[in-house]
Amino acid sequence: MEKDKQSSQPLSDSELQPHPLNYESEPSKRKFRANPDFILREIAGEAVLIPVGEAGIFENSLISLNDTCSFLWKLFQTPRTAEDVIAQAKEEYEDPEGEIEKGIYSFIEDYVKYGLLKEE
Amino acid sequence: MERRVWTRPLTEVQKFEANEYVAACGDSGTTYLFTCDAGGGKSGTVYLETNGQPGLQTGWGGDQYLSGYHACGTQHEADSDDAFLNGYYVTEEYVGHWPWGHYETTTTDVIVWRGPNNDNTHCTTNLNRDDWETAKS
Repeated sequence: MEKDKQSSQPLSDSELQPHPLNYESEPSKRKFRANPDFILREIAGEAVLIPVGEAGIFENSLISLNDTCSFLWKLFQTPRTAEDVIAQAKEEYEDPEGEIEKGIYSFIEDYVKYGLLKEE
Repeated sequence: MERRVWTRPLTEVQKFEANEYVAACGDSGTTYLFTCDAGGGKSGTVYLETNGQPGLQTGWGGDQYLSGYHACGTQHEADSDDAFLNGYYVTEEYVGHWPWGHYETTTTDVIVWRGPNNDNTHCTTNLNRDDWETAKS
């Protein structure tokens, strides 16, 4: 089968789907806050989110967070931008792989998608 | 102070499914006069509502089969702390002339009282507990 020449051409910037938080081109100014219908508790040494109000898809669920997730959740108890949180995380954590920014943007994207974070 | 090393934020969600649904009852210390009369004495089977989906579902992932049943017609004194469970009373009846007829299944919502030792099956079609008679103390 002959390969279509066009399919091997990289997409231009205008054709690319922008990242929801656009972290590669400009810092996000949007503020996010943890959904107050979930509270963080430590149970048997594990950080868990407990639904206390409208749990939606998390009804009858136990949500366990690792250390970095728990750290981010606590930061988002007050409305913060992604920039704020990244700065705080860089103060708190060593980042030999350079993963902090990407990890935090993914965290925000997923948590907003599932209603655990709300945009202010 | 030595800083922690960043690891990818991970969230694990574990969903729990209840395997028994217990109907809430009235004030503790109350004795209900529970009349076991669902079906009027006709033999059938009783399922408990356990899978959280409205209505009776049988088979894999369905509601729990409890026992065979027919109404004893007796009025029992039932402690409000006993188990009163939402369930279904199911009967089958052959309709038509054999062998050209068919079986028809009738499903009735009931409240099941398991008896004082939680090992029996008594059913009522009176689903409104506020209407139940209570024993005078």
